[in-house]
Amino acid sequence: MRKKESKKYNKNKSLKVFKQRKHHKTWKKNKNRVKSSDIFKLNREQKKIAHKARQANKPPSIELPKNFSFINNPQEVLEFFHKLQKFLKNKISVLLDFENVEVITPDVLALLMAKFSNKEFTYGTKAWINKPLNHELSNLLFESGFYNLLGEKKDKNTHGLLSTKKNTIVDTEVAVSARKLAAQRTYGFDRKIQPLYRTLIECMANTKKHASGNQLNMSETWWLSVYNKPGTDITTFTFCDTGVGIFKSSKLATFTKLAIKLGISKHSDILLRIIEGKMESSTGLHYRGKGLPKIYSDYKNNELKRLFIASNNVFADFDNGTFIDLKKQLNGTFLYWEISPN
Amino acid sequence: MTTLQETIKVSLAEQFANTPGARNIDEGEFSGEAFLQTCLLSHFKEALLKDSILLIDLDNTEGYATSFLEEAFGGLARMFDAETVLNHIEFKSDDEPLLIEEIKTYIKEANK
Repeated sequence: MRKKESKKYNKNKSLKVFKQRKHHKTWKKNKNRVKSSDIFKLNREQKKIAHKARQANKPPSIELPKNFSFINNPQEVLEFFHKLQKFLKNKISVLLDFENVEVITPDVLALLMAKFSNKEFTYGTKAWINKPLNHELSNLLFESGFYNLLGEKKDKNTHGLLSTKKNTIVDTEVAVSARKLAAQRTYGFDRKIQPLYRTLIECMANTKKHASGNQLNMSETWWLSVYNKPGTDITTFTFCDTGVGIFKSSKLATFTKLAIKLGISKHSDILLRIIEGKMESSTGLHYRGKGLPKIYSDYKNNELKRLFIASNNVFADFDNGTFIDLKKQLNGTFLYWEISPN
Repeated sequence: MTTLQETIKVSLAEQFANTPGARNIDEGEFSGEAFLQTCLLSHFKEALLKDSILLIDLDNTEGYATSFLEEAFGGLARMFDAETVLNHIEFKSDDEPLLIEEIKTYIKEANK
């Protein structure tokens, strides 16, 4: 009698395990499958990509701009970010198709990492990436730590040419290590570079004070990437955050909204006035807001080279003296500059 | 007859930090506000009491953000007044000589 009961129990248990396994198998098969309800909010082109992926039972693949460089190709890069966010916002996991990318610059990797570490961009939706066919670009991507950020454990390359750091406060240790790296790669020996150090501190302080746009929640993350291209003595710096951006920070926003509404000025005029120190800080205190003017003056004194600043819908290339109105917004602030011996 | 004023020396790198930070304490380590509160203020009061000169040695640090300098020295001028501060403080900066004029501007414009 007892033996019979035990046999029945085992039979039930194995049936339960079988059902669980079957359920898990089906879930595993379909977990990346695009749900038809998620496709609803996409535009026609995006729907096409999503439908194709649904049929193939694969995540939709989004091709990156061939010239994946924010400083050289800002409009296309921002277009890509907006397209990507549309999928992520609708909880559709995507594959970032790096295969045919011909150019990747370190500035865009810092921006990419800042975006992917921000839940307001990813909405907790997963993304995968494939390798660029170009070996050098593939290495750069490994070194950036982007694979780790996506949860894909890959061996990090040991060249040490690209260093990416993040924090929410002013981190003097990061500023010193970035300065040391730049000194070794650019000058070949350890030396102080005061304009570089103060620029890094100014950037971190700006993110801490202004990026969140909310006095109660001051914890926006900044990203810094330092890169030395092999065989050169040029070290590049990219600093970015995904905060509200220069033109949406508290009091400045009220002023700019009014000035733009009245047709008095454009964002590019306001950026120029800020960096020339002709505009009051967003705090409203006359003795503040000297950080960006100092960065600009160090650039004009040739201490920093190739300065780019982008925020909201403005992209400024100071070497070429061009201010581009961005078609798609950059949520946050982006700075790029270089250090070289000449 | 002129009297020689005593000089009190403060090396920012040795007595505070060789990696100065930003403006306020809540922004991170080694801020201008922290320097003012923990080091500069007490030495400046001492200089005032003794009617002596406070010599701030700015050398041997990584560099200074404008917000650090403004909060420390502009902040001091907001506590006392620009003239009192300028009469009792001097600077040494061989690494970046232009810093001295910049700081004096912050002091003069602190209360404007």
